[in-house]
Amino acid sequence: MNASFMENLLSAGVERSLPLFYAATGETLSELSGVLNLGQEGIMLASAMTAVAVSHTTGSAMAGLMAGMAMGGAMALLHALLTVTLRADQVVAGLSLVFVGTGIASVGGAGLVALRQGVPHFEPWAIPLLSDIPFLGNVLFNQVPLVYAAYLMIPTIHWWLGHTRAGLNLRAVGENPAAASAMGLSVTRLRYLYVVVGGVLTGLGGASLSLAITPGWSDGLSNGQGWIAIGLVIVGGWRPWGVALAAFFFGTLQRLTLDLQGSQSEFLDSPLVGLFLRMAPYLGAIVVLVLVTRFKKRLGAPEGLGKPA
Amino acid sequence: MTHPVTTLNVHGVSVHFGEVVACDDVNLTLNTGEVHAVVGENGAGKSTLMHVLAGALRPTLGTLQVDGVPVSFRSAQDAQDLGISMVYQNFRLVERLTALENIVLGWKKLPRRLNWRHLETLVKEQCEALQLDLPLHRPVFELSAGEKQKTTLLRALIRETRFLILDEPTAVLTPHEAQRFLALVNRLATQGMGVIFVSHKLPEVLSVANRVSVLRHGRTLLSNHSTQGLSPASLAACMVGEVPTELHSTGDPSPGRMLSPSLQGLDLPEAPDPKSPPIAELEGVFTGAEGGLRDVHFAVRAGEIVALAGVSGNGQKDFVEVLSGLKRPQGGRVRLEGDDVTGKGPRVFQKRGVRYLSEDRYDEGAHPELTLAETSFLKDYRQRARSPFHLLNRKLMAFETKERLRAFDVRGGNENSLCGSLSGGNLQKLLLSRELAGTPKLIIVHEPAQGLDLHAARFVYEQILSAAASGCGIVLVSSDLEETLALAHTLYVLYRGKIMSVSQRPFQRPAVGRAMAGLEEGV
Repeated sequence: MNASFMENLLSAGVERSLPLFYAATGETLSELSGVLNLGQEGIMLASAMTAVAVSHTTGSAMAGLMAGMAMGGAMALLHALLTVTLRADQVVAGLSLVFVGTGIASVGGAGLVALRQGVPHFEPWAIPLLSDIPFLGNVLFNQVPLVYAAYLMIPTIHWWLGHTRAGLNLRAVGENPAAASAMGLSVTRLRYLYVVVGGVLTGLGGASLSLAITPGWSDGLSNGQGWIAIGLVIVGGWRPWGVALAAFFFGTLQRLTLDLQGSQSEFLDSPLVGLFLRMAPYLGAIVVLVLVTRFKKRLGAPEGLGKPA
Repeated sequence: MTHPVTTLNVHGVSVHFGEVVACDDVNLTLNTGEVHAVVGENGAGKSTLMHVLAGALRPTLGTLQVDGVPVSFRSAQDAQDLGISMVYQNFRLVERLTALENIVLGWKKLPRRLNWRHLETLVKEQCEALQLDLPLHRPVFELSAGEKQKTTLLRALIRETRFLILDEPTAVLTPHEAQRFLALVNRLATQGMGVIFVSHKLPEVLSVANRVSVLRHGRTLLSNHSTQGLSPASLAACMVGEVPTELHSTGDPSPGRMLSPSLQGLDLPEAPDPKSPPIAELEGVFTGAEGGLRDVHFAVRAGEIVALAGVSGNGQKDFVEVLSGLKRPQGGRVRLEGDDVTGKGPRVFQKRGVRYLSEDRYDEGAHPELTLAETSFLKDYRQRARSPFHLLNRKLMAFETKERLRAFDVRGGNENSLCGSLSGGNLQKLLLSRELAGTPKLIIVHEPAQGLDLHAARFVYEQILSAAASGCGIVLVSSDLEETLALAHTLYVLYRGKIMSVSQRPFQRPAVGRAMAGLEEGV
């Protein structure tokens, strides 16, 4: 493997990790408030489709992005309604959200498949000067603007959790809703807020998929990334930096399998090996999960996760 | 300095939970600048009433008035806005957050952007003014019960509190700590705060409170009575609505010191032969340099009651967990009947007849969403309640639980009720019945009478004594010195993870006191 292979791999890895990062960060916020949202896959699909549809109709990728985020927020609002107000089981509600999202995406996206890549989408934009740094410049600073937004988001959320009133409230409400409530916080309001904010971020992840990574719509576009995102939250230990690194790792892994399949080697091109390669990221997810649980005594899951207020 | 007096009126408040009437037409008047004690048996409705005052519950009937103006609380925040804060008995802290984070959580004046250094200074000032010592940056799950209580107290104090509700505040404190805490309560009252003090400890109530109200079966039996000239005996009688005959026994408490009636005139079984082999032994047990046990040697024989006295937070938790098999010591050995069982795990200990009654009824002893029958069989369903195909034998469980509820006078629910609906005392009786079932060889009880009323505490003591009389070894870990002095054959004192002294009856009170303060070396 030569340097340019590495450079291309990591650069593509950063790009690939973008939807995972946004979805996993959205899930982190939701789970920190104590609500498990297993509907990530459905939210990503529905918002990816919505983003393409709106981007196509309006001719603006930005409008598509906004629409995708709104779709994510709306679906998460449904989740909040079911789990917080109606006190439905979070796992069941989340799973049903997957079906809802997949359905919406299939039906709404039926006419969009033919568009292929002909929708307005985001192009990479090299940051002047920074992108001139050898190796790293190309990997980190020659990306779509959504990647730069993620760079800003990671330290911001980290700081916000530790140094703002709202961040403190969020950490408290997921750990011990009863205590938070006794201290005068509205558990219902906080949970609604962060489930919806989480959904908006997941929607952003879905939209980034269809407007930047693989522009255009095809059925089942997210290909299980919503599920991986949920795993990444655990791997990342419910912390913004951890989640970002985990997303980058898996994004790169996904890309690596594609690269290896595309190589001219006869061995790697055989169908059986190809199957295993495509399996690798998921297998990797399981291995990392096992390692994480094995070596970290306190995983850091919010105490009140899954419990109604 | 005089402060304008604010009055909080509880006017005809009733609280119904379905068919259960927890409070029935309660009337109280609370003034700032006073300590007002609310006493009553377990399940008398004290906790419910306090929750109403703190805005956590809405009364079914009746009103609250502040200076004659009716107020209604829709949340704890509403109550806080009017300056009413509550310190809960089971703390309600967010375990993963630090003490400081817990203290400022939900504070109205908290700026959007937090300056932790500033907040820390603020809380530290409050700590110094009240002479409290608290590690502010440790997560709460690492704190001892006493420290958790300081955290909840500080949480109430940094808010502009006019009325402070303390629910069983000294239950988790040692005598010395309690003394200081009561002085603190008095200071707060003279500074113009209204303190509502819920307690079972009558001498304490009489020493600290200006007024007292007695609840019984949800009704006010005595309202806003001055504590002047009131004797503990008459208050106790009033509280239980009768004068239990055994309380007349003339145990002669040394002058100036009041022995709780629940501890008077108990029949201590004879101590076993000191040469008989121990049931359980600890040999040089070590559980960590910081806050852990250091080189602890300990032995208990059949029929012997061994008490471990000491200020809470000196390694008691590690001690009970090592002895019950929950925790594996880093060094040293644990023996049961001579066999080395170090690190074998709680089920082996359990099978060999070790029972453990945790100090933390709510989190470790029971689960609020299990029924009383399930709780009752939580530890030994494998042996005793298994039907063919590995299903639970619910009929047997229900039947035996019913028996236990009757034998131990557990009130407030039947075998199908949820644990969460029981009051602390009734839950404790249920748990005790679980640990005493079968043929235990060793029972470890940690703060067994904490937060219990006289009747329930008395009952618990009697059960412990009768278990000892039938040949069971008892390890009583308690921060209530009177309790350990009254019940033990042998008394160990734990200080900073080390055994400071071991003594036999009759105990030398001053020597024990010194050992508890860490003043005297020598075992």
